[in-house]
Formats: sequence, structure tokens, C-alpha cells
Amino acid sequence: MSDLSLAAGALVLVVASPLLGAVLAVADRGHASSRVVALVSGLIALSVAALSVTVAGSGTSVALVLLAGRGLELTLVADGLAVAMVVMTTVVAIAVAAFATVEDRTNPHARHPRFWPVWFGLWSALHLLFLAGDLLTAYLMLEAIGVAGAALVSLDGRRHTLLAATRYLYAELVASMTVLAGIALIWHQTGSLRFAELGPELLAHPGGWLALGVVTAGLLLKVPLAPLHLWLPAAHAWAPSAVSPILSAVVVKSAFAVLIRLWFLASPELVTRLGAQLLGSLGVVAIVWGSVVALRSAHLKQLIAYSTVAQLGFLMLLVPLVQAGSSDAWRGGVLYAVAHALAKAALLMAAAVIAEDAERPDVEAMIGAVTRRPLAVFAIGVAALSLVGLPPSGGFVAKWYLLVASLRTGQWWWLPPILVGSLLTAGYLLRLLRRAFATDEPAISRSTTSPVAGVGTAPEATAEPADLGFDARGALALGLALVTVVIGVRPGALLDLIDIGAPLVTGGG
Amino acid sequence: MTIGAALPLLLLATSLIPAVATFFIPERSHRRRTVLNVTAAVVKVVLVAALVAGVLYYGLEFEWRAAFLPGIDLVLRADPIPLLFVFLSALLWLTTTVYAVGYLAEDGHQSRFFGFFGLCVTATVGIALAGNLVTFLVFYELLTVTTYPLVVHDGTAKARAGGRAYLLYTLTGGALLLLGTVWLHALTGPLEFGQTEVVEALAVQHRTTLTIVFVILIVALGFKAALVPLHGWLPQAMVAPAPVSALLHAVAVVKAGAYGIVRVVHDLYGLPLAQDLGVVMPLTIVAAVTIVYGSTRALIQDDLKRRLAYSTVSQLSYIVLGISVVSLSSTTGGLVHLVHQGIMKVTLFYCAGNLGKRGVHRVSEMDGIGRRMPVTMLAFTVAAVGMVGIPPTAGFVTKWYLGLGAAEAGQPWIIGVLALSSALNAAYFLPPVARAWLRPAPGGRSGPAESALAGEPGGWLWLPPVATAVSVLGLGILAGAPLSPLTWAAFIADELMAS
Amino acid sequence: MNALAWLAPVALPVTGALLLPVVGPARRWLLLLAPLPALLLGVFGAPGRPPQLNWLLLEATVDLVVGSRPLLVMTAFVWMVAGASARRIGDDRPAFASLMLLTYAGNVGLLLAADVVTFYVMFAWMTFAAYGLVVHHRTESTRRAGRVYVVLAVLGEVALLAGLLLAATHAGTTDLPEVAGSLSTAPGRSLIIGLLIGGLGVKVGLVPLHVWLPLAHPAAPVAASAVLSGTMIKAGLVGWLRILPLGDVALPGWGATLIGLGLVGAVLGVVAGTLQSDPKVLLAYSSVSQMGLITTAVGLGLVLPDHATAAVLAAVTYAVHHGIAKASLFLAVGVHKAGTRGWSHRALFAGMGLAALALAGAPLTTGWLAKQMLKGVADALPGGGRALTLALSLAAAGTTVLMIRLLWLVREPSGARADARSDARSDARSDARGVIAPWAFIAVAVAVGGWLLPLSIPDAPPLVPITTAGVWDGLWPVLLGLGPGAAWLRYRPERRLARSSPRPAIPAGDLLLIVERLAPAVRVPARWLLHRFDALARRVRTFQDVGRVTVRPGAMIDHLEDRLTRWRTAGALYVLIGVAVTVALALGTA
Repeated sequence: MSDLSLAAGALVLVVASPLLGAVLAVADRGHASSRVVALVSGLIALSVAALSVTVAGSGTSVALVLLAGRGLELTLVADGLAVAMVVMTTVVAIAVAAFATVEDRTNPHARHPRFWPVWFGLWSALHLLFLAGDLLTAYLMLEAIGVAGAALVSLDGRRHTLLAATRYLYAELVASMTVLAGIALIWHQTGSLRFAELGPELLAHPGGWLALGVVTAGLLLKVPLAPLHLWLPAAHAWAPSAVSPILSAVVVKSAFAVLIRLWFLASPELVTRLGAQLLGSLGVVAIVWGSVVALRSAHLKQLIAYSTVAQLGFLMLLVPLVQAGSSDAWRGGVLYAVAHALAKAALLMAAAVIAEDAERPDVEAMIGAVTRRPLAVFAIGVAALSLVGLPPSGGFVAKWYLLVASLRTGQWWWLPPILVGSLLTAGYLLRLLRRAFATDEPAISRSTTSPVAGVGTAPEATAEPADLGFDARGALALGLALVTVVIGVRPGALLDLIDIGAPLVTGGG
Repeated sequence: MTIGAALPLLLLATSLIPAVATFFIPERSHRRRTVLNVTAAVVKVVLVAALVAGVLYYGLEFEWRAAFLPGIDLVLRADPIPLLFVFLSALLWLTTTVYAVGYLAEDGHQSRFFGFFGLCVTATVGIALAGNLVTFLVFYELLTVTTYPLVVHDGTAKARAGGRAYLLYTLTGGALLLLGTVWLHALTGPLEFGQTEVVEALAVQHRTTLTIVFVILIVALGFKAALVPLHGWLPQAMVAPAPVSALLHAVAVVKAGAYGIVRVVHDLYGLPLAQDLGVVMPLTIVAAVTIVYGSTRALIQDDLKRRLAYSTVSQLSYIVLGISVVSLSSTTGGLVHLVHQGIMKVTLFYCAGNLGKRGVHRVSEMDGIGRRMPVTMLAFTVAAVGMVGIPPTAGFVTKWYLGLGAAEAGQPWIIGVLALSSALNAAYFLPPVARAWLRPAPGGRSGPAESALAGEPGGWLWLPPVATAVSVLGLGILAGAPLSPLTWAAFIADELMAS
Repeated sequence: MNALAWLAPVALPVTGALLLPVVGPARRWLLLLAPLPALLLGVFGAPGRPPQLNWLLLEATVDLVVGSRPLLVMTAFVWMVAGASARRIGDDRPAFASLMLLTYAGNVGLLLAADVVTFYVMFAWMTFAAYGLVVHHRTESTRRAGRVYVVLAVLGEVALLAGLLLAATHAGTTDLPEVAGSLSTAPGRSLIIGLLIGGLGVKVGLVPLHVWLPLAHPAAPVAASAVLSGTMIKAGLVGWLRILPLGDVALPGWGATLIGLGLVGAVLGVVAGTLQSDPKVLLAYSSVSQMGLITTAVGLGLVLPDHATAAVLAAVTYAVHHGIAKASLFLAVGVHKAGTRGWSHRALFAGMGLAALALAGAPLTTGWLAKQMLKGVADALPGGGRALTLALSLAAAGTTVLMIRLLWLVREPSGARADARSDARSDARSDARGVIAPWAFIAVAVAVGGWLLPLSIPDAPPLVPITTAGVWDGLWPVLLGLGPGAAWLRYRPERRLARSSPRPAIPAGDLLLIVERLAPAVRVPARWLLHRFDALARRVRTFQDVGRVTVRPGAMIDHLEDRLTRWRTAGALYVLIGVAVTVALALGTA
């Protein structure tokens, strides 16, 4: 009982502490001093740690109902999925916050005063969304996240960022309206919005599939799943360096989390094989298309944004496999979300650092980066490790389970997309890395028949990158990326956590 | 933790920790870096020696395992075959480290280089000691990744192209390896090397699937083992600095592929089952084709390192050929060639590196170089003679056993292949040697150098090739000696064939 | 002690070769001392039963069988003499001396080897070390000689190895006697025997594999030529005698082939040799001719299993005789090239005359003894083998002519001539000063040595009785040969030939020239093909183009992506997908 109440306290604190941060930030007139950020982040970290420890310890999901009465109460459910997502959010967010404070220290007045409040708001909204036990809360939080995200993108107020932000906002609105319509249908059909109670009623109701379909459509646009990705590349590519990591890593997972929760935890009975296969094949489309465009894009952060499009496709493969009754797929999918979040955030942070001191936004910024920013390049390398799915990394473990699932469920047709997709991922990330090692302009290829056995000693080779001083942001990115490696070496604990409250399915065919 | 579990981990640590540390050594402090790396290499050799003694004399069990995925452990185990490979890579790592120190002396990014170099060796040791397919896969991919920065170390466009080819080939192989591994585990559940009976049990109802998986695994490993037509990356990756070529061609990368094939055939499926599935003969044929193809391509390569690269393509398949032919002698020959090829080829690349330091990159530029660089060219000659399989060198021992095995297995056509290959080897290895010693140098400086070492680069550069060249002779002349790779390989082959 | 006695013959020269650069002046004695252990082992026989050297090579074994013992003594002796004469070279060129020592180690090793692996190792070792001797002078001609030598050597090695592998596999052991014993029952016997005869035939100079010989033997410095033509050329013979199933089974086919090729070689050697003007080339051809006769002996052994022992004995005796005689002649030519005058020339001429008579088989010379033994075997042929005996006699006559020609070439003191000569000659000059003494030594051996050596064979049959018939049989061919020889001296046909073409009518390496003439017709297209193939293979980049392939239809991709990110397209897709999902949820089943 006591640890249950502790869990409840942790739950509330997890959601509330970011809000506290927002308040302090406002009080600090926007320029949240690094001390405030550190304090709040520490608080959040503690609460999240407490929550995850209790949940993992008890091995059961914790539910909490606030403002009970009149059906509109706020329900918090901390099951494996939710806690995993919250942990992911916190780890990434803390890293990015630290990244931002470092930036602030280097040039104090660049940061827009509204950044920190919005930032903490977004943070808490994310937590609440992942923990939400009912559809309405989830919906409201999706709204909040969308708005906050768009706001953060547009903060610097330049023209193209504004355009990107508006496009983002419009897309969010369209999606929200769809979702809202679907929710209204569900409310009409079942009289309840609690995930826990939806299933049977929806199934009983003849039009249940309609409601589910509508909501799903909205969520797909929010994720977004290609070919509905029209808003993502611009928004993620033009967002400030401290924002795009959180967008690409965490925010995109919000709608995804709601989707799989709705499909497999709330109303698994409604999910049809056909529908699942459809989403899966859309996922394949996303993998291929995102990767192909990423292979072409000349803009550094845009390339990474398209990689996000592709990676979201991988996540979608969870749907058909779980529908076929594979618990491996659930593990794989959720773990994939976590691993991708860490890697992608690290990738974007490192890219930001490199693009900044190369003073150019395109991929050519990477040329020779390994001498200027070894830590950042190393971070990109490790992140790539996880995104491609090479061991030892969380990405590898996730892909492993997806592959096992598709073999065990006999859905062999997902194997080629996964493998080819990984190779394409390697392909476009290699575009960054091979430039990073360049010692000569790509135009001029030094003849390797130099007197020293073709060892083209680069002019800057002897000059050390020391003059740039310790690259704190690069170190942060590297640290974040290394977390995936840690997961990849000892995935046990995280997998056990994810299993808590996982859809009740048999071990698979 | 018991010593039995600690030693394998220590073997990893002896290269992992120095590697990580090296990254943080400032570029300029050469001595610290050199001391650290060389000491680490020496320590590793000592540890390996201890391991070998422990296994072969005291019959100790060395195994370390840790939970990885639910139901699947990371396992490092020191069986005889792994020992052979660890032994090789540890020794060659030492020589190559020494060589690299000399080679990169005037070069930049040394901390980066040696850092990744150490990581490569760590991965190699992991591959060698891997106790199950998953562990093998993990370190295999790790090797792929950590080698890339070394291949592109020069940073020239050519180097980057080579690195690109390298990654795209090996990653494709890696993806297939992952597929094969997953598939096998989906069938068997947890599976370790040496548990051939588990797979055999499945052969009853999953015959076709097992065959497919076998093919996938072999193809996957074939990318690194440079089986034709999956060899394309090797000749391109030769633009890398000489120590890296040594690493790619002798110590680690291609070896990992060949070694993987050995383990899949012998420790996963078991030769009987593989034979029963009818996948062995095709493998033999592929190996034979590769042997001839590689030699043929090597014939007309004027670029020395390119010629060596194609010779590697050819030589590696001796290993595959050996283990794919069902007889005691050929298995012995294949296993022992793991070591022999490594030592001979590493010598050749050291020498090629030294020649490169003197601006000689092509065979056509080697006229009279023997007079200027007698030590290097002596080493080169010995290794080349070994490659052709002329006694009394290591290469001959391999060739003899392979031929004997072929005849034992009733496949005399393989002897024909070996004969043809030897003739071709002679045709592309002896001319450079003859040029170097007999032709007058272009500059007319054909007279012997005032001092034997006048034309030689520093001791760091000519000591390693001399050491390896001597061992090329030693491995041939003392092949029958106890603890020689040959007796060792024969011992292993006995065990494998007995089961 | 025992093991040492067996190892020293090989170990001493090898260590010597390795130490050579450091030992300094003591060097001059190394070449002289290295053969000593072998000589002792050969003369006093083996102490105790041979040791098992498990740690060496692939568990090496050694022995000293009947046939190889006199050969061992001869080899050691000739090497000792050659070494003594080469000491000068050894002084200023450590490389040469150490190569001599290494080659010698291989040469002795293959005589002691008792298992196929050790034999092959030593054989190949000797062959490739000798390459260094052949190309020693580093002139264009020596490089050509070296090329031909090494090509044929490699091919020979490959064939030999293949043959040995098959034979050993069938025998299930590598022990030489057992392998030889089981060869007669081996499947694919004729293939194996063919490989062995061919592979070893290269070294023997079996027609048509002899082409390297007239190039390589003269190319080397005198001391090296002596051992090349005297002892190393016998290595192939040793191989034949030890591995071929002599006495186990009648192989008329192979036997006839060997006899035939042997006779052809005998004739070819005489004819081509007579037309040469360089005495060293002439001597090389004489070697071809003499080895041809020895080959007939082996052939007889294959045809007549019952008389195999006698045939082997004849072959060995002949080999010993020829080894010493030929070595002495080469050294003599060396002396002559270096320049002789006055009494030294007369002594030299006399000594050469003696050796020439021996080679021609004049009565009571070692040559006569060997030929008599050979004919003794030939008589056993069905039908008395008259034809063969006659052929042998005629060959002897031919040899006489050849020898007359040789003596003619060196008839006058060369003291004056020796100065204005190329490097190679002045090399020869420098070595030859040290040659005279050793030569004198061996010249004596020519007279007596041959008679003593067969005695070292324990169960040797009594030496050929000296009967008038036998004497006459040896004499008439020589007399017969004197006729044409005299005629030759009178008319000097080769002069006219020389006038018509600058080079001898049959240049050194006879058949080779045809091959070399034809070679381009093969090499050029082959090279072209290889290069085309290489270019093609380079263009076909299987995998690393994956990336580019996906990117190539770039414009199309950009366009499509541009469309996708427009509201209209996206909106339509949105509706479409939404409907699709809904329908899928409606229609599908869980």
C-alpha cells in the first residue's frame, strides 16, 4: 500500500514538476538560469526514477484517478509503455536542456524569453500524455504538445521558420479535429473515454470500427506516417538546435504511443488483420520513401528529419506483428521508440554543433568535422550505430525482436523492409560520416601516390582541435548516444519494464 | 569472478581500455601513446599464452557469460579453434602496432588511429572467443564499424571511396548475418557453438529452412571472407595505410569472415549435417572458383597493394576450401592456413608499406630495389615464396595438407586447382622479386648500398616484417614441432572429425 | 650423436649460409668444410638406425639406401671441389657463397630424405636456391636463362607435388619406400607416374624438358655450372630411382617412352652440342646427351622388372661417373677461360682429354664401366636388345665427336684471349685462378674415383669383367667417332654455317627458340584478354553502387516529394488513408 501511495505521489510529481519549472521560468522572466533548469531537471529526474523503480519493482502497472466524478475525471496509468516513454522523454529532455543551457552560456541573450516556459510546458504535457489513462486527456495533451511544438519552432521568428511552424500548426489542427470527431463518436457509442473500458463497448457497438478508424487517421497525420509527412521535414529542419532534438526524438512518439495504446491496450478486439497489415505496409512506404529522400537531401538537418520519417515507418511495423499475437513485436516496437529517441536526439545535437561552427547548413558542413569536432562526430557515429541497428545498441535489440516476431508469426514479408531499410539508413548516415573524415575538398582528390605511401597527411592534421576548447555540447550528444549502447549491452531491465501491462498475447506462432 | 571467467574478459580489456584511453591522449605526446599501446599488445600476448597453456596443458575451462537478451547470453569461451585465432591476432597485433608506430610517425590523428585500432582488436578477440552466434554477430558488426575510420584514415577521396565500398559490402553482409542468426534462433531457441546436435535434431522437419539459413549465413560471412563475387571491397580498401591493410588482410577483417565460416560449418551445423544438406560441395566449388579468380586478377595488377589484395582473395579461399572438403588433412590444412596466410600476408603488406615509404607503389617501379632495401626485400621474398607454397615455408605446409586432404576425400580435381593456383601465384609473385634483385635500379644506383640498412626505413618499420618473415620460415621448417600451429590444427581437426 | 651425424650434412651448410655475412675471412673455409659431414656419412656409412625427426618439417625421416650412398659421396666430393674453386667468389660475394651453401644443403638433403615430404622440400629448396646461382651475373642473357629455368622449375615442382600427393594418399603414408611400393597398385597409376616422370624429368633434362639446361648451366659461374651439371642434374634421377615402381611391375609403355626420349636426348645433345662454339654450352649439351643414356637405364628398369636392380646400379654408376667427369670438364673450361699458358695449358689439355675419354666410354675408364653395366642390362631385353646396344655404342661414338670438338675449342692457350672479355668473362677469370688446384684434384678422381665408388655399394655384383670383347666393345665406338671427328677438324663445316648465319646452326636452347618464337602468339592475346577482363570486372561494381542506384532517378524523387508536401496532395492522401484504414477495420477480421 505504502509503495502504491509512493507510486501515486511519484505519478503526480512526474507531471507536476515540469510545470513548476515552467512557473519558475516565467518568474525568471524567461531567462531560466542554468541553476533553475538544473534544479527542476533534477527534481523531474528524481520523480521519474521513483516512479519507474516502483513500477518496475512491483511489476504491475499503477493507475490513479484524479478529480473523480461526472465521467470527465483525469486518469493516470503508469504501465510499461507509459513509464518507458516517460523515462525516454526525461533522459532526452534533460540532455537537451543541458545542451540549451550551454548554448545560453556561450551567447547569453540569443535565447527567446518565451523559450523556457514553453519548453517546460511541453515537457509536462508529454509526461501527462504518456501517462494518460483516458482518451480525452490524451487528446488535450496532443493539442498542447502540437501548439507548444509549433511555438518552439517559430520562436526565432525568421520567415522560413514561421512558415514551417504554421504548416506544422495547420497539420496539427486538421489532425486534432479528426481525432476529436472520432473521440466524440466513441463517447457517443460507449459513454466512457477510459482506455481500460473502451474495448467491450466499442466492440458491442456496430459503428465501433468507424470511431477507431477516424481517430487512427488523425493520429497517423500527427505521428506523422508517410505519405502524410508534409509538415515534418520543414518543421524539424528549421527548428532551433535545442528544439529539433525534442521534436524528432520525443514529440513524434506521442501520437504513436496513443495509437498503439488505443489499438492494442484499449480495444484489441476491434483491430483487424487487414487494418494492421495496412498500417504495416504504410510503414514500409515510410521506410523506403523517407530513406530515399534522405539519401538525396543536401540540407543536414533536413536529411536527419527525413531519417525520422523513415524510422517512424519502422515503428509502425509493430502493429501488424502485435496484431498477429507476438509479444516480441511489442518489446521490439517500444524499445525501438526509445532507442530511436536517444539516437536521434544525439544526432541532431551533434549535427547542430557541427553545422554551427562550419557556418553552413548543408551536408558539406560535415567535411573535415572529425578534426574540428571529434566528440560530435563520434556521437553521430554511435547514434548511427543504433539507428542502423548494429550491435551493441538499443536499435539492434529492437530490430532483433521485430525480426524474431516476423519470423515467429510467419509474416516473413516484413524481413526485407527491415533489412533493406537498415542498409538505406546506413547509406544516408554514411553520407555524413564519410564527409566527416575528409581531409581534402571533395572536388580535389589528393593522389595517393605521395612520397609517404599515399598517407595524405592533411594540412590541419598536425594542428590539434584543442583551440576549440572542450566541446561540452558534443560531449552531451555523445553521452546521450552512449545510453543506447548501454541499453544495447544490458537490455534486460528495460525489456522487463516494457513487458509490464503489455497487451495480453501469446508468445506468438 | 573466477579466473576462468576473468581471463576472457581480461583479453578484451587489454585492448579495450588502452584503446579508449588512447582517444584522450593529446596528439603530440607520441611516447605516452606508443608505450601504452605496445605494452597493451605485449600484455595481451602474455595473457593469450597463459590461456593457451591453461587450455592445452591444464585442461582448464575458460568461459565468461552474461545475460544479453532474455534467453540469450553473451558468451566468451576459449575452445581450441578460438585459441588458434586469438593467438594469431594477438601476435600480429603486437607486430602491427610496432609497425604502425613507425609508419605513422610523421602522420596526424594518431590518437584517433590507435584508438580505433585497439577497438578493432577488441572486436577481433570477441569474434574469436564468441561462444554463440549472437555474441559472434555483436563483435562482428563492432569490427565492421570500428574498422571504417581506419580505412578512411587518409581522408582522401580515394580512401573515402574505399571506405564507402567497404561499409556497404560488409553492412550488407552484416544484415544477412543478422537475418540468418535470427532465423536460426527462431527455430532453435538459445543455441551455442558446438551444440551441433541441436541443429541436427531440427534437420528432420526443417530441412529446407536449415539449408536456406546455411546459405544465408555463408553468403553473409562471404562478404568479409571476400568470396567471389562478394570480394569487390577488398581491392578498393587497399588504399588504406599499410598497417590498416595488414589489419584488413591478415589480422582481423577477412579472417573474421573465414573464421565465421569455419564455425558455422563445424560448430553450428557440423560437417555431417552440412554434407547431408548438400551445401558443402557448392561451398568447395565457390572456394575453388575464388582461388583461381583471385590469382587471375592479381596477375595483371601493376599496383603492388592491389596485387596483394587479389592474392588475399585467392588465399583466403584456401581456408574455406580446406574446411569444406570432408577429410582430416584438408580440415587441418584449412585451419592452419588461418595462421599461415595471416603471417605471410602481413609480411607482404609491411614490405609494401616500406616500399611505399620510398615512393615505390607499383611492381614496375621495383627494379633494383633489392639493393637499396635488402632487409625489406628479403622479407618480401620469403613471404612471396611462402605464398607460392614453395618449401620450406608455411605456405607449403598448407598446400601439402590441402592437397593430401583433397586426395583423401576422393576429389583429386582440387589438386588440379591447387596446382593451377600455385603456378599463377608464382607468375605474379616471382616477377616482382626477380625485378627487385636482378634488374638495375632506374637511377643507375644498382651498386650495393654502403650499409645494408642505408635504404631502409627506421627499425620500427623493418623489424616487424623481419620477425614475421622469420616465422614464415619457422612455421614451415618446424611444422612438426609441439605447439606449432600445424600440430594444433591437426589436434583440432581430430576432435572435429571424431565428432 | 646419431641424430647429429644425420643432421650435420644439411644443418652445417645452412648455418654456414646464415653466418656467412658475419664470419668474415673464415668464409673461405666454409665452402670447403660444408660437404665434409656428408662425405664422412657416405664413406663410413650411417651410425645406428636413422633417427625420427618429428619436430622437423612434417615429421621428417632420413635414410641412406643402397643407390643413394655412392651418389652422396660423389655429390659431397664434387661440391667440395666446386666449393674450393668458388672460395674466391665466396670472398667478394657473400651472397653467392651463401647461395652455394643453401643449394648444397638441398642437394644433400634430398639424397638423405626418406619420406616424400622431406624429399620434395629438399628438391624444391635446391631448385630455387640454384636459381640464385644461375642469375648470378645479372646480365640480360642470364636473366633470360633464369626466366626459362624458373618457369620450367615451377611447372616441374607443381607436377611433382601433385604426383607425390596422389601417391602418398594411396600409400596412406609418406614413407618413400612404402609409397614407391604401393605405387604399382595405385588407382590412376599412369597419371601419377606421368606426373612424377615429367616433374622430375625437368631436372634430369629429359627431352623436351631439357631446354633450360643449355641456357642455365653456362650462365652460372664456373663453380656453379660444375655442380649444376655434375650433381644437381642427378636429383631428378634420384627421385625416379626412389619413387618409380622399379622391380615391382613391368611398365613397358613408360619404359619404352623413357628409352626413346633418352636416345633422342643422347643424339640431340651430340648434334646440337657439336655446333656450339662456347665450350660451356657444349658441355651442357653433352650433359643432356649423357642424362639421356642414364634415362634409358631407368627405362630398362621399368621394362624389365627382374633386372631392375642391375638397371638401378647401372644408372647410379653412370651418374657417379658422369658427375665427376662433367664437373672436372666444367672446372677445366673455367681454368681455360681464365687464361692458361705453357705447361699449365698442356696439363689442362691432358686432363680434359682424360675426362673426355671417360665420357666417350673408352676402355677401362669409368665411362666404359658404366656403359658396360648399361649394356649388360640392355642384353636382357627380349631379342637381346641388339638395336639398343648398337644405339648406345653409336651414342658413344657421337660423344667422341663432341669431345673432340670440345678439345678443339680449348686447344690453344687462352692466356692472350682472356683479357679483352666482358664482365662475365672477367668474373670467370677471377674465380678460375682459384680453380686450378681443385681441378687437378678432380682430374685425378676422374681416372680412379669412378672405379672405387661402386665398391661402396654393399651387395654390388662383381664389377664388369675386363674381357677383350668388352674392351673392343668400348673401343670401336671411340675409333668410329675419331673418323668424323678428324673429318670435322679438316673441313670445319660449322664455319660455313656460321658464315651463313652469325649464330650457331642450332642455338643454345634449341626447341626453346621455337617456343619463344611462338610465345607472343599466345602471350599477347592472353594479356589482352586478361586486361579486358580486368577492365570489365572493375566496371561491374556489384554492391557499392546500391546507394547511387537509389539516388540516380533523383529529379523524379524530388518532384514527387515536392508534390507530397503540398496540401492538396497530402489532403487527398489523408482522406484516402483514413477511409482505407476505417474500411480495413470494418471489413477485416481479427
